[in-house]
Amino acid sequence: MKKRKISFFAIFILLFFSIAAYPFDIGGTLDNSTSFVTPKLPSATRPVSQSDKLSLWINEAGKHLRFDLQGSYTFSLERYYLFDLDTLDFAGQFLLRKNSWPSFSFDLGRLYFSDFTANILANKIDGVQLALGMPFLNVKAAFGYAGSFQKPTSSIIMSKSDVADRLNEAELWAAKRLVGLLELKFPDLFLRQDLMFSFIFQQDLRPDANLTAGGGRYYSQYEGAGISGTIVPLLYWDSFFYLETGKTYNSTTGGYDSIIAFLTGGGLRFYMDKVLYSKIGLKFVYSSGDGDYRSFFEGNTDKSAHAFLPIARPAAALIFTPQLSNIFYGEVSYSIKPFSFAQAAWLKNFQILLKGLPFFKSSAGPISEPGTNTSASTWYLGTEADLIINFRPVSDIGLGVSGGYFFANNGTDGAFLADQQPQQFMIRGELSLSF
Amino acid sequence: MKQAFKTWVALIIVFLIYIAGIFPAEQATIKEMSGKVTYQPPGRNWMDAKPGTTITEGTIISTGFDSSAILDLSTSEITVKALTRMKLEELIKSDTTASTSLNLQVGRVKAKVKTVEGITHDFKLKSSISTAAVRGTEFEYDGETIKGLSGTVTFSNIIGQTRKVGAGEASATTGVSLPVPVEESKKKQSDVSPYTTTPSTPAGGGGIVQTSVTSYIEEAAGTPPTTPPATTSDVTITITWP
Repeated sequence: MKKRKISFFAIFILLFFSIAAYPFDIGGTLDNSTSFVTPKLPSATRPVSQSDKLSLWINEAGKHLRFDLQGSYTFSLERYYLFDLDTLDFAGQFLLRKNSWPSFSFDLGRLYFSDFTANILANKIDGVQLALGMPFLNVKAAFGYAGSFQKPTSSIIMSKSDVADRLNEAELWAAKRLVGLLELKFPDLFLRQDLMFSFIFQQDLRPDANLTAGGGRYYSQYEGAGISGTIVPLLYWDSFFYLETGKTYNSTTGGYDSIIAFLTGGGLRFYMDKVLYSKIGLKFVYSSGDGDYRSFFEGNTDKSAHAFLPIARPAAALIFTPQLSNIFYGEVSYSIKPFSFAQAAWLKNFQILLKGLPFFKSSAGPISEPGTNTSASTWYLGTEADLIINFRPVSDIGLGVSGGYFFANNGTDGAFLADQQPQQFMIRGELSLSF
Repeated sequence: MKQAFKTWVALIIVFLIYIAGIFPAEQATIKEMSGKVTYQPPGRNWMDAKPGTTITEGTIISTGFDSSAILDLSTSEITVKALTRMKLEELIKSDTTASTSLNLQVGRVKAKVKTVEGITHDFKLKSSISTAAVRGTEFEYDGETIKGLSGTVTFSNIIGQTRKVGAGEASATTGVSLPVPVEESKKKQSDVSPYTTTPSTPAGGGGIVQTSVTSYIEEAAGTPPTTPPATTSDVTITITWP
């Protein structure tokens, strides 16, 4: 396996430099991320995490057609080598009538699929994406397969069998799922507001023989609507609602139960350009839970399941990053660029960001994080405070230093058990070079 | 027969003079300039411009390196920036209406469109891929990107999809792509990402993306997790079409 991976990398390098002889645009990036958390969770092997990723990309863009290719090698303390094809995109964009609508575009290959919130679907998928542009409407349709990714590069985990695969070192590939997306966007429809409608589905293709004991398949569809735009100049907002339907396995009955769950959220952002490009942000996200769930995955015990489970796994904070299921959180943030008006150009791109996020459960049911106190009466999980500093002195170098403290609610009758989820501090450094 | 022909010609000439009187062609004047500025009236050769030069409909104006010109169109003022070529396609003004259409072939201009009481002003600034239509506002435009300075500009792409761009906001299009939401321009000004965006970077951002499966594994399978949680970097919009 190691020989195969090295051969693959060697072939990629040869291919890269051969193609580089042609008039393509080529380049690369080297990214480093190092973090230290204290105290570490009982389940973690070490308090330090370190990853380095070398990416090489090729891009060729003509009038109507475009080709993007990016491969990478990632080193981490947990995995010394991970070679991956990050992007392979053959794309085109045309007008179906001369100088008039509609426009048609396509993307084919290894693509990034995302819904308008990036909370339901924000994943790389192998497939095709088509879009049609008309004066008042943009239509996007995408369809693809998620099972051709190496496990570490896929974040799609939706069932007990998916979890079992993660533990099985003999299993190399991510869960076999079909994913589809249809999105309608009405830009600037009224009063400078965009209106969006979205339909997403994922179909679990796991064969019966690969189902883990006590687990089944997880099928879900997501129907959503959202609105975003300008309230007054410099003040912007967005709001969304998603309904999840589908089927989840019930280990008690051995059958499948219907899913009726929802996710909603919104945010406000106020930009103060004259105050050193400051920004104030307010945000909330609520995902429904189910009090009779016995476990986070496929834990339903009654007739219908009400715990929302998205395909993506967005991270809200630095330390505490639960899956958006049975979770309600708010966010208050403030950012500033203190050297915006400095004479030296290299100082201008320096940003300080402060965030405060209180987290709650939406129901008595479980969340994705371990160490919860199942007999607690409170649903308040804790609050995280993060300080993030980002600096880009020149276009080819980026630096980031982040620090966070999670004030876990682990006291008497707290949501967490003190020895399982202590108060935690994390610091992370990031460096990005491009060439 | 000859007399009838002469009568018809005279009537046509009178009619044309009458029409010209209803819609008199507007003229622009070069109010200020610096560096090398040239202009080409319709059907004529390029000539050097100077302050006070009159620019008529159909004229192309061109500025050189480190040069600029300010055109006074009575109801609007256009600053033609360096290395810019622009054609005055239509300049018509009457007692109640003013119609201005400018074609930006290359470069950048700043436009200040005045609101004059009693006059309806239809002002359009076009490029090969987008159009900015304004009324009583000020903005900067380079054919792909528009920056609002005051008032509201309607910015549209080739297929007629529009964005309203207010003061302090910006939008851009490649011609076929939907004009970028104006909040993205504010995010670009206020946010800094430590990760570099490449042509192959997806909209989800660059950097190192790691899956976070620790807790699932512990809770669902009862064994210790091995990978600490990680986060993705910020969302980045990349326009990849030239």
